[in-house]
Amino acid sequence: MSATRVVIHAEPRIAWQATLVPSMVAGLRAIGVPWAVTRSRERTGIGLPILLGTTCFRAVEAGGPFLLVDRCSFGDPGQWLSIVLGGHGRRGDHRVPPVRDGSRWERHGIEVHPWRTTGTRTILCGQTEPWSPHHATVEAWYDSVGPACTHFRPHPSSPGPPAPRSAAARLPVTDSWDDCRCAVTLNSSVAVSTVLAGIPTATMDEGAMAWDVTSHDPGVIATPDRTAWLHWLAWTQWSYDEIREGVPWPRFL
Amino acid sequence: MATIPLSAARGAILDIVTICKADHWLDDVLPRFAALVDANCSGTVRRHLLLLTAPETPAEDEGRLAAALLARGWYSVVCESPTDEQAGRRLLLFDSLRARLPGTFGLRECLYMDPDTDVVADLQGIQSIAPDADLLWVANPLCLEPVVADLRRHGLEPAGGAAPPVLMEPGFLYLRRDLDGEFAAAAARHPEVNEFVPGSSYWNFVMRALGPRAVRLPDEFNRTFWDVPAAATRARTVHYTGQWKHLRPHVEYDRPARRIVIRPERVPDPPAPGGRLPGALAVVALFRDAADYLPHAFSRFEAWERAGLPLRYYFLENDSTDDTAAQLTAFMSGRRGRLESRRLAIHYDPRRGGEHHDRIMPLARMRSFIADVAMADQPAGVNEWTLLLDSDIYFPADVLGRMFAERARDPRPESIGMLTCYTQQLFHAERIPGAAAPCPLLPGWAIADHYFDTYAFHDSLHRHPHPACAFARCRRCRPGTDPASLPGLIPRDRPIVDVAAAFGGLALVPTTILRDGRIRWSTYGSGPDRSRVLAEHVLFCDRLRTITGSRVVVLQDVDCVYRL
Repeated sequence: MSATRVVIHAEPRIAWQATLVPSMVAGLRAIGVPWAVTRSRERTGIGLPILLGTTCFRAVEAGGPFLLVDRCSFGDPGQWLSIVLGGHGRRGDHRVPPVRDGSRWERHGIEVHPWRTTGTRTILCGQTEPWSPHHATVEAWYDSVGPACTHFRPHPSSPGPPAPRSAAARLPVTDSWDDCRCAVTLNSSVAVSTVLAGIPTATMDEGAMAWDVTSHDPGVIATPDRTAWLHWLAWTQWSYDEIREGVPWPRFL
Repeated sequence: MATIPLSAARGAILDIVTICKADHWLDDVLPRFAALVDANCSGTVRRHLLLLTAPETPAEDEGRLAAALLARGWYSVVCESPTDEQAGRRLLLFDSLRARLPGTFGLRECLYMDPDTDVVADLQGIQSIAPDADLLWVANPLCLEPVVADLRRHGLEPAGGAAPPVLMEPGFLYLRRDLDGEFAAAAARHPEVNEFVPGSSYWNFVMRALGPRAVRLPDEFNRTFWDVPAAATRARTVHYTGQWKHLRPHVEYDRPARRIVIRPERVPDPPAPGGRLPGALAVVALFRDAADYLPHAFSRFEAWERAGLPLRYYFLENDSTDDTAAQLTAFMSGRRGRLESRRLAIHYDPRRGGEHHDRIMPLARMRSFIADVAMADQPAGVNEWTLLLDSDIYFPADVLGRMFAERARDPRPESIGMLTCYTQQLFHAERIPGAAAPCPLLPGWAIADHYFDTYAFHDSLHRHPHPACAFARCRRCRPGTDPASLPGLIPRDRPIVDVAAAFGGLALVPTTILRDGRIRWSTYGSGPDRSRVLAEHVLFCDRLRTITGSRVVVLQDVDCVYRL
């Protein structure tokens, strides 16, 4: 049995976390990892924290190593979860194998649309938090890219308009990708969706999961070959069945 | 050994730990333990469980257990499958686990109790007792002869003493560090102890070895059930041993009558804390010329009293010309609290709804005055909340239950410092053609889902749409407009709305927050024009949020409160 205990930080009133805990524990137990579960918002110091989601456990993130289990960046959130060590998005370590073919990507069964070559709208995608060392607030980022955009798409968790004084507040609100020439994101997982949908995308923070297949300037359209990135992306997410069987844990613990 | 008097540590966190095997005790014993802790301990209490599973326990079962225990309010669960290194000495294993509980849970200190313990009074404050001690312990009223013999045989108690030695009860320990080193040392140094309760012998060895770093708690902290007079009257926790364990599910403590009642059926556990009523309520209200309204409020207060809720009342009546003062005097007769009737010496603009400095500042001062009066008295019970009520606010008798049930839906209910309702404005139906719906509480009146207290309302971004309300569900403020086209509005499907400020005429605040005299009402204006100043509740909410770090929320689904 491994001597390293893991501490699962979960909020049982958040449905997906309550659903995930039994699978997490079963998987860890299956491979002999001692476990604890807690609602604590603070690091307990009794093992490696596994954080379910980014919302509740930020204080734990600040205090040392952690494993983040979060909603998937693509595919069915009822089936897949992202697992990453020590950071958010591409800043963390997904423990992707050095050599990967397309077999795991094909298991996801996600359709990839050809790149769009037409469109007039440049859509600024809202975020609730910046999660970026480059911008203290999302409003600061809005101010930096707003002038290059034509529309604003609110984040689904924050459907209101941006703060009145930010540059984004001057943009018309849209929830449609029709006629989109370019989607502009900071590091939101919406960039994965837009890239899979064939919408040229600009990501403005290195933590963005789609960083490798996007431009980093709203004025620049990038439509690279996505194959290698898709094969990498496939290893950043794990199914509930895999988690219940303990498949991903040896990579991370 | 020394006995230190109890002093309460208000607002501190109390970490309570217990140990339980993954067997039928999880369903038979643990829920009652948890429910009694939650029902009787004030302040922030976190329950921790050391769950002991067998190595052969299926992984899927452990997963289900973990999720179920979290859902039942356990703050943390650590799972261990101890190997049976000391075959036949199961009790010793349990005792050795207790000795390292702070480290097991990453706690600086914790209270351990056996799970077959009934917590029947508040344990909050134990943290402040003898802060330099490593171990706080309670005396075991049962003189265990094998333990006494071990102590004497190993020279830890004089043989042939006039009185039997005081033994400690290992089922109730307050630990400020791991004592597993001391416990293991005692076991290694004295391997030959009785087989009946070896762990108890070793804990007594450890306690004596710690000397002044082991401090005896007052006996009231823990008694055994068979000490019925103590259990029925003053014991804070009651421990069940041996045959008494079978009785435990049927026992009810009637503390006011100083008796224990044994029921033929299992006694239901206290309700879950989130949805239950507060432990007590202080009502703080201002009234002027409210004679027509008071019978409504009194009927609600009396309903709560009949339901057994401890209440105290603090009313400030000013300048009434009807029989408001007489009604309040009659109501307060025999009730706990205080009625102040005043004639204001300052200039006071009594016009309802006015935003003039000469209305709002006197209101702020009156609210602050009567709150000071209320907070100077002792709470009516543990977990007391204070109801801030305006006149002309109509509400059902179960409004408290509805508010706390909504609070329980929040992921962090303990972070909420002020609960307010979605108080609706009552209209004559003809004033809101096309939008009117009948008011379910008050026949003859109409509602339009309009949130009435727009003057006090500031959303989380400090936006203040007054006199319009900020809610998409309102049919009065933006008639004919699709709410979806106005994304700044608060959507209907957000049951708990965090705001910078709100009141709504009926709000609940934990009394512990209001006892901070900085959290009071005031107002500011801008420039020489005194006709429009800030609603006094804005500063109250701002102080509450910034001083305590807690949240102010509007419970959108508690829309059964109305304002005339």
